Amino acid sequence: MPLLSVSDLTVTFDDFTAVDSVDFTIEPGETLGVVGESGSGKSVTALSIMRLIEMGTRAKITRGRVELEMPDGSTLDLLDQDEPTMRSIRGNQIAMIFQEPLTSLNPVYPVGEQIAEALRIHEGSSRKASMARAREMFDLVRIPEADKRIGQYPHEMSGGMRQRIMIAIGLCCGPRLLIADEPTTALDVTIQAQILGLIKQLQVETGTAMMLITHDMGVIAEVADRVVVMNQAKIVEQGPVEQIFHSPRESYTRGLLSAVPKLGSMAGHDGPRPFNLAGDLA
Amino acid sequence: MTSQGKDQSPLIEVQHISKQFPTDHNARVHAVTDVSLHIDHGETLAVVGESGCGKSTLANLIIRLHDADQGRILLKGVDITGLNPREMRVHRQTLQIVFQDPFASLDPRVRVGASVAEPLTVHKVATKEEATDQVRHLFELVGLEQSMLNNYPHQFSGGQRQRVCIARALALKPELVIADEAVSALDVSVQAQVMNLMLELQQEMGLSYLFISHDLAVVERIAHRVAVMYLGQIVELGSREQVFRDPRHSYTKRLLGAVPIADPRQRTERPLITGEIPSPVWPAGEGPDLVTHTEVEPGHLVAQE
Amino acid sequence: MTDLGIAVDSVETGSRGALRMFLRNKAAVFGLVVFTLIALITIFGPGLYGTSARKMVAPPFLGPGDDLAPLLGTDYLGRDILAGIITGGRTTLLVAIVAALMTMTFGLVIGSLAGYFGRWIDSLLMRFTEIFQVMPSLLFALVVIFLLGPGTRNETLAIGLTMWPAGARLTRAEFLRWREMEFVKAARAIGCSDLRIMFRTILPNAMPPLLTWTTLIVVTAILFHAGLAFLGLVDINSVSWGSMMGKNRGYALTAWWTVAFPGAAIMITGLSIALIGDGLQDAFNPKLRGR
Repeated sequence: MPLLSVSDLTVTFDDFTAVDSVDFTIEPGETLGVVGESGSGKSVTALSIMRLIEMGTRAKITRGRVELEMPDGSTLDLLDQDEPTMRSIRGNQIAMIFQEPLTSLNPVYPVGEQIAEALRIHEGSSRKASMARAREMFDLVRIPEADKRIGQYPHEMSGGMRQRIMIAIGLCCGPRLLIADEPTTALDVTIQAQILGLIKQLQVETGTAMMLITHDMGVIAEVADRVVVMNQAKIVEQGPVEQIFHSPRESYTRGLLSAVPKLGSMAGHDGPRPFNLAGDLA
Repeated sequence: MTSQGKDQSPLIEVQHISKQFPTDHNARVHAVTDVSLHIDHGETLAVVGESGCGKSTLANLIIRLHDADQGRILLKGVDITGLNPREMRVHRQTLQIVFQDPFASLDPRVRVGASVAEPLTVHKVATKEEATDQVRHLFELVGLEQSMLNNYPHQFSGGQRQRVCIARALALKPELVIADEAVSALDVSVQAQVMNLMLELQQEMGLSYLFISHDLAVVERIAHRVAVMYLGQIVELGSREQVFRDPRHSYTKRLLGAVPIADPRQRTERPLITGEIPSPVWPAGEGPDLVTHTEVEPGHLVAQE
Repeated sequence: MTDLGIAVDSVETGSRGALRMFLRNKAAVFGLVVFTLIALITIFGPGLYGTSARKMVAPPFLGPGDDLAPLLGTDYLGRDILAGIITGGRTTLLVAIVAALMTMTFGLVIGSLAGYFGRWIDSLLMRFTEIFQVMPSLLFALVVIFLLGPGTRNETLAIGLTMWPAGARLTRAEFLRWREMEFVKAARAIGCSDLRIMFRTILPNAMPPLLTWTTLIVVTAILFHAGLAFLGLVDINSVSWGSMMGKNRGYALTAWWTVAFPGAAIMITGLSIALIGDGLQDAFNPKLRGR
């Protein structure tokens, strides 16, 4: 029984279709990588699952089902739920972290306070209890000198630390699914490596399923169990990560893979070498 | 091997160049500290590093958007460091730059054909008719349709815009093109196409590139030689094979180890470390220690640790 | 210069009070001291300074320093100018502050709803705002006073009603700007309600420019009220800085002190409030703290 099952999801902006009858599932504890280039509809898909896409935009979810398995074993079609129900699901059952760790935190509150806020909303815990939990979350995401940093403002932290805070906010209510939208794209490569390591470790520790959205095939290859390839609002191909990378069926996927520079692929070659573009790009 | 040019002296030589920027509170950013490198004719030198390592400042120093505090830049043997803007104009033709953001680098109200022709008319190297001819030729060179000449930038995709920027940079037949994160903002399929274009143009026109990037996989593909920068200084410099296959400096190793490889069979275990990139900001009167380089093999320089 | 500003990590800082930041702005503290003095004078002054502002106490047009003259001279009816300033400040400040608060409240409610929810709510509220905004403000205030009758309360209402549209527009612009930030998306993603996002997530970020603007509105309201009084359109029996200038305006050239001192009171008050506003802007910027 999948944790999340999306079927025939279609989202339009006026007369433009941003997501076109998309189907996929996420099993408990697995990492689903969603890869695609800009405008492929991957972020819109994520925001539609959270039912955040229609807020303040012209987007409309026109068709489909997004079924979430609840802790009591029942399933809920998120597209049928009213706003108060969705609010109780967001952060609690499904959490989301965003690309830009600088702007995803509120500049006017200390970071510890922002973790505690999420706890207070869903668990109604006291100020003192929520701050103590926030302090524990600092340890979970391996932020050193937690006692000092808990009172810091976002601008006083580096990008990597801020992304750790975002992950802590995402995980603090123990969600069963974490949607990460380009979580390492804005980070330097050495910091990205740390965050990827942390994400993998936390999945082992907490058993949270993850939907990882990225344009970076390297990140997908490293973290995902299964992969969904999106292009122009549609799913082109999906399958286990090994299959997508080593025996892709679709010409689009082959093209995409042929365009990815792969570290180490130039060993033994003298001088630069153009990409041997395949599939759709040939 | 890499040099296709007639003479043996490097196209450009940067000698012990340094640049600091003041910040508030009596501190200074040591953006570039004692950097020396050279680029031969027809060669690509890539400068890699993370944010704050000074790679973009280095590019801006070479095209003289900033003036260096110390050091010299020799372009074909001529010191261009102290030249005033008028004297610099001659050399601007030799030296062109392509920036990261193809959206910001083009004036939204100017037709792209006119944007590409602009350097030709500014430098008075072509009449209007000649310029039109050359722009057509440049469009063909970078793989854009002639029919797009009269379009505005917003009618182009990101990749097409970057092609326009490259066409504009090539208008004056430069010998060195500085590509400052020129493919970083592009989708991977477009990135590959633009990189292929750059390699083709290098073959055809004997161009040299100074390729500035944070992406090691991209650099491995395009560079003849690689310089690794860390906090304003070069920690390792050598041929691509030397740096990628036999990295000697601990930072180079860490950087290479951090790159996720697009192959699920090559997954790496990531240690749970928590580190930060140190700051290049120093209080007034203080600064980083100057590194000394040793040549571990011909052409392979490594900073001593 | 994208290279700069990374990891410039001043670790030893933490949350330090807005008050501390405010106190660090010398000009703002000076403004606060001056304004507090003015407020104290208008509150306790009339009781302490025995002379009534409405009574003839000396011959008219005595200049400051003349024999028998009170400290700041007398006006065309021989009333004590200083008494007028002390008493009139009460009306002027009360009208200005209440009008500014009204403006702020109206503007905040309408602007935040319009900016946050967008779509038809925005269109509706903005058209409504425009109705108020297109009317010439002085004329509009006159009509309100004419309909409701003169009196300090109605004057305040008239000023508030004329000035709030600008506040609504400013608030809306701020909300539109912040609404698109990722941390607002992130707040939704943890399940915050709209009200919570509007007032806990966005408002503190939007507050600095709004506060500064409100302080300026106090100044504008003082001047507006003075303008109305100057034209003789307010309650004839009330004493305010503006009405003093208005009643004495015919004698400005022969007896400068009759208008200069109330004018100076308006100016000093206005400046002190503007300085406070400047300090508030700093106080609510977390990025300045801990420097």
